[in-house]
Amino acid sequence: MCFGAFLKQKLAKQAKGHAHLSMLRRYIGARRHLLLDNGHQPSIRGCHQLDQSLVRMSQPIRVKDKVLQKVFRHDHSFVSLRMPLNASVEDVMAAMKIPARDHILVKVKSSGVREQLKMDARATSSFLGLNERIFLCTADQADKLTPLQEQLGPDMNTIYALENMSSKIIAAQLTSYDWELFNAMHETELLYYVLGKKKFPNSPTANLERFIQRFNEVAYWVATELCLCADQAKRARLLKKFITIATILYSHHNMNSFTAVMYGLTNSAVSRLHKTWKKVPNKMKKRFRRYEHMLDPFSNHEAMRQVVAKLSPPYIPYLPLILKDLTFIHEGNKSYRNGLVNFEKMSMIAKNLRTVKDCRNQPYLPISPQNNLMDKMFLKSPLKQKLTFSDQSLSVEGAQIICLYIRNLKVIDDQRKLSQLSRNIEP
Amino acid sequence: MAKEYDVLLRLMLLGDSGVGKTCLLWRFTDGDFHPSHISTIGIDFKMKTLDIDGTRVRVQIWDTAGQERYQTVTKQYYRRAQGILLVYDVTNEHSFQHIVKWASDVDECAPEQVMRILVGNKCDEEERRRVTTEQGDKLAKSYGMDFFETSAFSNHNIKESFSRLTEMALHANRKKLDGLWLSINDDLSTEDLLQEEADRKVEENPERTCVC
Repeated sequence: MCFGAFLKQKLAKQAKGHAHLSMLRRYIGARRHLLLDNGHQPSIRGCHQLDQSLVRMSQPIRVKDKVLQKVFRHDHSFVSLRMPLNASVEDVMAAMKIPARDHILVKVKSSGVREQLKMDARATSSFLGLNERIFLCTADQADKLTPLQEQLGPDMNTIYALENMSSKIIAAQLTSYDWELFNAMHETELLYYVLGKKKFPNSPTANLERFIQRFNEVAYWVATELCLCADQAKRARLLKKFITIATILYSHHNMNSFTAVMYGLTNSAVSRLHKTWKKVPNKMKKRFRRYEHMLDPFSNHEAMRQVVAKLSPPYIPYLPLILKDLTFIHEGNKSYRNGLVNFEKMSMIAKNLRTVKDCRNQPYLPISPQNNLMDKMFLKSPLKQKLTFSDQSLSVEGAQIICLYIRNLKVIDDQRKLSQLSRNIEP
Repeated sequence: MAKEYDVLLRLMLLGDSGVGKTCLLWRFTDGDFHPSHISTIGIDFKMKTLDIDGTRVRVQIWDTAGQERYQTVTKQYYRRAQGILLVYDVTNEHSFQHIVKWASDVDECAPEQVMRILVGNKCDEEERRRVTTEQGDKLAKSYGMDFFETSAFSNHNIKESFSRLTEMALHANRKKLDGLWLSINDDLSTEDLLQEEADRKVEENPERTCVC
């Protein structure tokens, strides 16, 4: 039984009469449909089939792992393939018994933008962007490919669910998922990423890619939920909630989801909602501006560097800055000088990688008491019958549902569409 | 502290990874990526002051190198910039085709007054060239952009392309020079906000206001 089916069953049993739960049931129901259609957990896009049991800890994806890869045709039918992570486009074609001379594999974005994949490209599934999918077609079909319905993202918000979950719990769930994904990634993946896949064809960066895409997902989730909320009063409440969530994430030292939520809030589609912003109290707005300043690349991200320098382990770093520094160190300095290894460069790279290692050298201890529920969930303790989203009386099952919601966010990743929605709700 | 410049402009480089954005920047700022430049707070090696018709323009260049996969991050850079260099590699057809994608990303996220120029890099590699000068010129014309072919290797046309973009951005913002000043002051005031916690200590050192 897949997790969607489990939830549906449980929810059906316990949540009758609760409007918001039935809405959430539909959300998860839609997710289940997606799972069946796709055969993989959407948040990992093309990697790893979802476990048959409940929520499970995210495991590191290894080079030799076989992953489920979905290839769509122009008519939106699909083939599921179980391929080694590092399989090339050629391998995928061979597995589908398609003569390579007639067909091509194309990556299609939700906006409809297409990109043909090279025959020797490897581990393409782990490089997929948020709502990107791989299509198989002939060269002349390529121009007519249209994105799948699921790529376009939701057309309804989940405010019914969000209003019933406390900011603390949402932040705690975001953080614990971040920790799993962050711990699954080895710091050497950063190096492979910066030096390029050409140099390290057999060292995939799938875990890093997953972590990066999670960041984009959270950022688009914030923008999606706000832009899909037509009711101005509710939208203002939601906006305040997201700022509160950002504050809690910051206090958790989770710079990953903190910045992701902030990038969602500063998305042009959200920042232009002046009427909504007007309802945010000044004190909160001031706090928001202070956070916003951290995102400013001014003076080589000075603001962010100052903040990060004050953090002590365990914390989740702001990875874009580390990747940027590594890129500059690598591209701006030669690896050899006069036939000798440029030791200074190597030690600069090592220092950055060590930062990533050091910030998780101590186990992450859940800050919120409800986080212990995660452990209980994984230990499969007997389920309580009570189902509520409130902070104080959160049952194991309630936590599971929030956990599943947070790990299976549905988002619109097409900026054009977000801008359009934003103009619709506040012309 | 006396101002060493009159106006601050923000430019950014866009294009596929591997087209040589970082090398262009490196050449333009005559910099060496010295360790202290990367890790030290407050030193920005991507700054250069240009003299455009007697106006001292401090050019701050943002490079999204290494962050391309963070779409949500890079897109927000566009909004804060006044000029954008769209860069492709003349030896890589794909990077040229992708300019369309980059340009449409900019259209979606950047303010209308943002100035753009098209740059074909690595023009010293004549034998590996896959995109002709005419093709580049044609594309630039279709977007109404200026076009430069550059080489970070031989230091060809680099200063020219950056200067041209700075000049365009300056002219586009001439009327808003006051506005630009305001935006600089904004930076400083939000900087102060960040320092809220440290503010208590600031009393000991009240003159600490400039980060430039």
